[in-house]
Amino acid sequence: MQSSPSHESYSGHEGDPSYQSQPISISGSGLVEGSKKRLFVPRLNNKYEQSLYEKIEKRSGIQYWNVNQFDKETQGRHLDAVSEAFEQAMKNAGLYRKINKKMSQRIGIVYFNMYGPTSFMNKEFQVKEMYQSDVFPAFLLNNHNITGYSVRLRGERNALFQGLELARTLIQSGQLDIVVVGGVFQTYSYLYLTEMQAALDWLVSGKIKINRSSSEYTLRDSAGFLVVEASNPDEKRQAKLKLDIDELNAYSASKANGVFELPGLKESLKESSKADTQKGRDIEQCYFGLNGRDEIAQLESLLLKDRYPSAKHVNSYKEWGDFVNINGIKVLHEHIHDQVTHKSLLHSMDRDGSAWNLIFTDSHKNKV
Amino acid sequence: MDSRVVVTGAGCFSDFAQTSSDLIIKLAQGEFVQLQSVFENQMIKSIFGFEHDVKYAPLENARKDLIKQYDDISNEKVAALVNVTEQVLADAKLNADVLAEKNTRVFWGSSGNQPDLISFIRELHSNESLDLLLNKKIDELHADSFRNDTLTQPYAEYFQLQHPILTVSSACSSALNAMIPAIAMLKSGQIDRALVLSWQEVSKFDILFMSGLNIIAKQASLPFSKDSDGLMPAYGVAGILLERSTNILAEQTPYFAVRAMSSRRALSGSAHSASMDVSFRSISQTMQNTLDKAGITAADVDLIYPHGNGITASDQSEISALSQLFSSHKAKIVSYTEQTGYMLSASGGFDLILAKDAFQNNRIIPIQSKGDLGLTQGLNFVIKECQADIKYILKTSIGIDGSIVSCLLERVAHAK
Repeated sequence: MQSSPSHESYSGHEGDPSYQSQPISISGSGLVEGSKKRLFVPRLNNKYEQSLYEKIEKRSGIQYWNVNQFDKETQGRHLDAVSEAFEQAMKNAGLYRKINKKMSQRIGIVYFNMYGPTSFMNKEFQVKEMYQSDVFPAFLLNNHNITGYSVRLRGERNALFQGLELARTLIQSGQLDIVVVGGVFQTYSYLYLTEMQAALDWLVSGKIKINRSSSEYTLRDSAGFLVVEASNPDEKRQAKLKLDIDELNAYSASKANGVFELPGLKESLKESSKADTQKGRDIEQCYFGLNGRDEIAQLESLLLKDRYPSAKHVNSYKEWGDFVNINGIKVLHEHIHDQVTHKSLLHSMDRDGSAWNLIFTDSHKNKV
Repeated sequence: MDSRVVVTGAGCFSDFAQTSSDLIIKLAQGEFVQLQSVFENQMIKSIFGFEHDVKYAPLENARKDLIKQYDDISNEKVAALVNVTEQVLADAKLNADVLAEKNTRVFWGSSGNQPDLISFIRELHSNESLDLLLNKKIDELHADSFRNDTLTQPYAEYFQLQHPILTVSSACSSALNAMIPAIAMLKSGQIDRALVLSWQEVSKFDILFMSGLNIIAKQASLPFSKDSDGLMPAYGVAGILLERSTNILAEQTPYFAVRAMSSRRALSGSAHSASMDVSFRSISQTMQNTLDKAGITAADVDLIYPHGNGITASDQSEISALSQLFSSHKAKIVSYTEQTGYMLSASGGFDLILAKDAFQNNRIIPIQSKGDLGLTQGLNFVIKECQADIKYILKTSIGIDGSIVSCLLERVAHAK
């Protein structure tokens, strides 16, 4: 672990310039996926749920909602999954022991869920759970003796990208050495049904024809975390994983002559990415489809094929289902564990009007 | 070269005050916010088991009036945020166009969008056709009522933002915690301007949550008084514009610089319990860290704005921390929470507006309290308006999630 950088970052003096340009890496990941499969059927005593289901079926053709929830008997409640995923990520990064007092203030957590306060939707909720779930899971700090800058983010499907950007800012400014970024997604029938309804409205407003070809939709409860720190070849701690973040940037999708106009999006993507065409050829794998809707995935595919024509394209929804705000963590987690060595790109577009691209390279230490 | 981060504009909107100057005038006149009952309907009040009359300042009527000014905004929360943004920009002598520039970013210190549980609580777990007919608000049981981009997206479109808004939440310390990434990006040269808006709606859901934690006032919220029995929530929006001093225009007047900040989390004794019991040691350590980063001592601080939320345990921790560091020094202390209402996530943002007045006019508007300020003995709480040559102000915020943030503000010498 690197020595503590300048503590003068906010002291009215400029921070260390070399530190500000230091690249960052992902050194650990943890993921817990809901394992209790069930087919969602609207409740007989719930007219609102029935009405939402019927409206969405009519518009989208979706009849079968395959919902994979946390299994209370084997996985516990969603906060247990959060705890388990966090432990995994810390362990993978070689940080599973309690953080010592000296380092305690140099580590922070950036946490997100999908919809802000939702714990009251759980039937057996308690105030304590609301506090941990809707405000901040403080037990993560207590369990690991973490006292550095830690916040909750509201970024919905793009929260991972915002979290990584915040982590990069905190690390490069010398505020923190390590940031654990991640959160949780829980399926609630009202919310996934109305989320789909809003997504369809969004597509219609952009004059996109709804693709009604699939009668199934797969959702998965999940909790995932990534450990982010400065890339440092001299570090003594032996993290098992390493994924270098080469580029992370956002561009405004809504200004590209309308959200779904491909020529405008191509231009915006090109402008946002520092990687020139030559460098772009290095990218061998493009992940997309984090939005969950097929129409957006098709648009992303065209966009990325234009910019990175020789890359392999992977639609994350088709591959694994919809983890919603945890989709990006699922992709990176799978990528890390596959130990793929090439440079890859992760792309995301959501209803907030922004798109993100993350270019990363696996530099696993044990590889030849 | 002087490359400090300076505050060049400020604005606010709440039931107490609808502009920065309004805020300062009303505080100086010793006014108090008008509170209203949370539950006007006795049946709903009894459903939730409230025996006492809970009061708050929800910013309902003012928002309804405000939205009429904006033809192209349909959401009252967005209208309030746009209004404060316009105030901040006008104060900074800048046009709205600057927000559409690539070197500008917007940060929200807020718990973000959330629905009001009361709208659909009775229909949450079961409902019939008749319920849907009778309760038109059941439509609020919708992802859009929960998603934060229901607010960020129209705001971003209104100002044609180039970058996504970063919404950072750390309960009642959100305003100051949102400044930390903003300042880091400014200092690294990544951006030239950062607009930091802090806000938190006070929904009936929040009232239930706070009542569950037993922190909401049953009788009176009197920060730093032994008579206080909890907090009195108020919905407010506060905004400041941060810029690098080297970038400001000739016509702009920086009010003060952010000299140093420190943010930490207090740990709880039990591994799985909540971090609500913030110790005075954690608070004093955070303040000391800030002073150390700034390279000054407690003796140099002229004025302190503590958090002061009206929760006795929290106020006592703060008093102990202040006593430890400042009891033998000149620093004056003042808090306006009792007058304005407790602005939750935005509370830190409102104090920064007052810092502007203190630096500009070398004056300290006194604390007004209907309670006995016995807890403050031994500290220099300002009870009468006074003139003071202020160079350094220390602001501290405490979140119910165990977050503590401290910020040292420094006077900027004007060449003009």
